[in-house]
Amino acid sequence: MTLVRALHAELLKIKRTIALKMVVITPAIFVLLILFLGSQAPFSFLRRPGFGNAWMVLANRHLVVWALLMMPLYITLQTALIAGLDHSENQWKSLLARPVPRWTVYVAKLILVTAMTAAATLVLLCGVLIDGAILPRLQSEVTFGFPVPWATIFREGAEVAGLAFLALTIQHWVSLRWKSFSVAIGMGIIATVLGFLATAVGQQFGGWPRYFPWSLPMLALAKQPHDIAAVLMISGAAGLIVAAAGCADFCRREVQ
Amino acid sequence: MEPPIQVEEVSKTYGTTAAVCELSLSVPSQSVYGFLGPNGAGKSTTIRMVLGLQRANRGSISLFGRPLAAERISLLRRIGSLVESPSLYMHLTGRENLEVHRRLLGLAKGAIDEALKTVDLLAVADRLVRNYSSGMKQRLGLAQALLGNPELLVLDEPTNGLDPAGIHEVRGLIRELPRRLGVTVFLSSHLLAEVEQVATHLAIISQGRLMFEGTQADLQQRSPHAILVEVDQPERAHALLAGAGRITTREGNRIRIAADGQCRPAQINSMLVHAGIAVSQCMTQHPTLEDFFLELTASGRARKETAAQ
Repeated sequence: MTLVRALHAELLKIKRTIALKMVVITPAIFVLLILFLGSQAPFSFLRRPGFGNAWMVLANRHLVVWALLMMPLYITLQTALIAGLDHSENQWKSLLARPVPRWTVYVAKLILVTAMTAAATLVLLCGVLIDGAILPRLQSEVTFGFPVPWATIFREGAEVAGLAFLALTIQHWVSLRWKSFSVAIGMGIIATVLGFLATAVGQQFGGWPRYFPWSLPMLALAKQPHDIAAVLMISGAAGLIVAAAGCADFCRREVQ
Repeated sequence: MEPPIQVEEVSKTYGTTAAVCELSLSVPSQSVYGFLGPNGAGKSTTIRMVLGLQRANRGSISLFGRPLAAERISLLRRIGSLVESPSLYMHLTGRENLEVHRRLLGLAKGAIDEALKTVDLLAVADRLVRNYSSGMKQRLGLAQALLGNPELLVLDEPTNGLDPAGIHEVRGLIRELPRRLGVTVFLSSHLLAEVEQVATHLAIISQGRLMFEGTQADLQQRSPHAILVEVDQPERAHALLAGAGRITTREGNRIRIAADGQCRPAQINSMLVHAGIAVSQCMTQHPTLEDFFLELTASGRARKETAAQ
C-alpha cells in the first residue's frame, strides 16, 4: 500500500517535466529520422539486395538503432532526470523525513523509469506502423504486404525493452547514488559506447562481450540463434539483484 | 506526559570531526523550544538525527517516549519538519507540492486546503512555485510540515533567507501554533532575536555540546542583572559605590553596578542623592539573550581549545 502511495506521488512529480515529454518525443524523432532515411531512393535501406518482408526490415531498422544507441541514452537521461527531481533543492531531507519506508521511494522510482522505457518502446513500435503506412506513398516501388506481422514486431520490441532492464537498474542506482548529473550522464554515455563495441566484438567473435548489460538488447535482434527466454530470465534476475543492492544502499545512506 | 523529544548522551562524528558530543535534550510538550547555537555548532546534525535522516554514533533518541531507531515510521507520522530552506518542486504549483506529500501520507484531500489556510496561501495555491516569493516558499514549506496535523513540528532555521517582513510573518505563525493547534515546536536558529520572541524554553549548544537548557527565566537567574545609573559626578559616585563594596564599571557619566539579591535601584539612588550626587537616570538592566549566548558559546569554544591543547 505504501508502495502504491509512493508511486502515486512519483507520478505527480513528473508532471510538466521534460522526462515525461521525452517518452513521446525521443521515439517520435527517431521514427521521423527512419522515415527520412527510408524515403531516400535509390539509397533507401528498403532497396538493399536480399530484401525480405518489408515490415520486418523496417521494424528491424527501427529496433537495431533503438536497442544499440537510442534506448541506452534514453535510459541514461530518464534515470538522471527522475533522480534529479529529488536531488535538486535536496528534496531528500523532506521526503525521507516522511513516515514512508525508504525502499518504497527507490522501488517507485524504478517502476516509473521502467514503465517510461516500455512506453517509449511502444511509441517506437507504433511509429514502425506509421512509417510503413507512409513510405509506400513516398516510394511507389516499395510495397508493404498484408497482414502486418504484429505479433513478431511487438514480441521483438518487448524483448529489446526487457533485455534493457539490467542496464536500467544499474543506471538507476548510479543516478540516485550521486547527486551530480554529470556522473550519471557520463557513466551512461561511456557504457553506451562500450555496449556498441561489445556488440561489434560479440557479433564478430561471439563470446561474453555479447552479454555486456548495455549490449543485451541486441541479442533479441541478433542473427545467431539464442535462447532469448533464458537470457531474459537471467538478465531480469541480475537486474533484480542490482535493484536490491541499490535499494539497500539507498536505505542505509545518510541524508546531508 | 512523555516529552516529544528526548535526546540522551548522543554523539555524532564525521570522520575525525565531532559534530555533536554527548548531547542530552528534553523538549516539554506544547512548548516552543528554541535550539540555539552558532553556525557549525551541531544544530542541523542534531535535527537530522531527530528526524532519522542520520544515525547517531552513540546515545539514544526517543520521540513521545518511544525509541526512534526501532519505531521510525510510526513516530515520523506524528512529526512535521522544515529543515533549512523548504524542499519544493519548482515546476509544480503550491497545491501540487502539498499533494505529493498528501499522497505519501495517505491523507484526505481536505488536508491540503487546511494547511494552505493555516499559512494563508490559499489564494495563490494554484500558481507555480517558481513564481513564489521567498516568504511564500517558506510558508509553503511550513504548510508541508503542518500537513497531517503533526504533534511535533521540527523547524531548522525557518527564517533563512527571508526579508524582515517574511521573518515577521513566519515568527507570528510559529508563535500561534502551540496555542491554535496544540503543537510542540522545536525551533533551531542562530537568530537570537527571533528565538527570544517566540521560545518558551531554550537550549544553547556550542561545539556540539549543550551549554544551557531551561526556560528563559532560568537563563535570567543564571546571570545576575545590573543597575545602571547616570550621574553628574561619576568619579565621586564610582568611589562612593566602590567604598560600599559594590562592583562597578564606569562608562562616561554612567556607572554599571553588578546587582545581587539585596541591591535595589532605590537604595543606590538614595545613597548617591544623600552624598549630594545628582542622579538623572537609574534603572535595572537585564542581560539579553545575546549576552548569555555570547558568554556560553565563548566558554564552549574555550573548552574545545583547551581540550585541543
